[in-house]
Amino acid sequence: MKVKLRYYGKLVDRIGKSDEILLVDDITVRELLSILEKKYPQLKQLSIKIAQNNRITNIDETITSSKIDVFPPFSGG
Amino acid sequence: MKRYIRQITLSEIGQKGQLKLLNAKVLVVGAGGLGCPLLLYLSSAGVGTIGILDFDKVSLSNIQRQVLYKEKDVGCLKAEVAKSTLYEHNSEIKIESYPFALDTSNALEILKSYDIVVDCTDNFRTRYLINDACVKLNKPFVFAALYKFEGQLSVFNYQSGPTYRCLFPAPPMGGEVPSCEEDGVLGIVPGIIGMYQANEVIKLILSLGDILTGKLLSLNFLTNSQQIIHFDKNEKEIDSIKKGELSFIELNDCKFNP
Repeated sequence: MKVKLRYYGKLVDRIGKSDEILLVDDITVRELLSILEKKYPQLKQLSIKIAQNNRITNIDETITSSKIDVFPPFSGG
Repeated sequence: MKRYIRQITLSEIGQKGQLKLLNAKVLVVGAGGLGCPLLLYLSSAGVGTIGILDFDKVSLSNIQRQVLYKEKDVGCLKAEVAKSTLYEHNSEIKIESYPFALDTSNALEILKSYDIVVDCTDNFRTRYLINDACVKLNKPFVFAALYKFEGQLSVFNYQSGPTYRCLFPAPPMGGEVPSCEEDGVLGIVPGIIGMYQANEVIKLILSLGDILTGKLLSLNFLTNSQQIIHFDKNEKEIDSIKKGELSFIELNDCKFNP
């Protein structure tokens, strides 16, 4: 299935784009994170959160939505 | 009360709401880009007791966004300058200044005399400390943070609701600490986000509208998009905060800059 990932904050700068489409099949959040870390080793140290259907996922949840939000905590003030 | 007549006229506020504002005690941690506009509006609205905690001194590069400070204030303590500037706007409220850093030895003592804590800091270390102290003291805290043209907002620990650790249990690793100094910031962005934050504080005091509890509001000022992302309470995280000693999170090469 086609999944559109939307990146937030520092991820956009680290990855060099604000969104992208991935082709994945029946994967969990954990598997998606490891795909992203392999693709973008520069993300490894970030405390990334994955949301689908406007809800934070837990790590063993299956990706079912075609729109996924990927974001780090912000710290600026 | 005359000075508040325009907001008392609002049916959602009235005399009763204004008294709630005047009786409210709000501690603002960080008098920088978020804290300055927020402090200005909370004091003008008549929030009766306001605490300002910031260890830092005003520098020339702050003035671009930290709108309480003037050129003559460079080198002076932000908490003290903010206090005297706010008094010029509203001399009828009580303002306390804490011109030092929040740490494990003073956090509980300072926070306990306030109803609401506002996190206007720029670092994870103080944010986790505020979170944990608020959990221990059972106080809500209104959080905001930004990265360039984006913002995040939430209200944590509201009526025993989800906390910052429920959203981000793992402290970020060293080197993951963007700051306005390193990444740059346009003053308007913390200005807008600080206003959102001030609005949440007023809503909390007046029990108005939908409180951002269990929800992260994500804002992007380049695309003007907004999104609310829901998250759940993590009882395990909360329990371990309640049982543990108040301590700083471990961060490698994190600059301590509340």
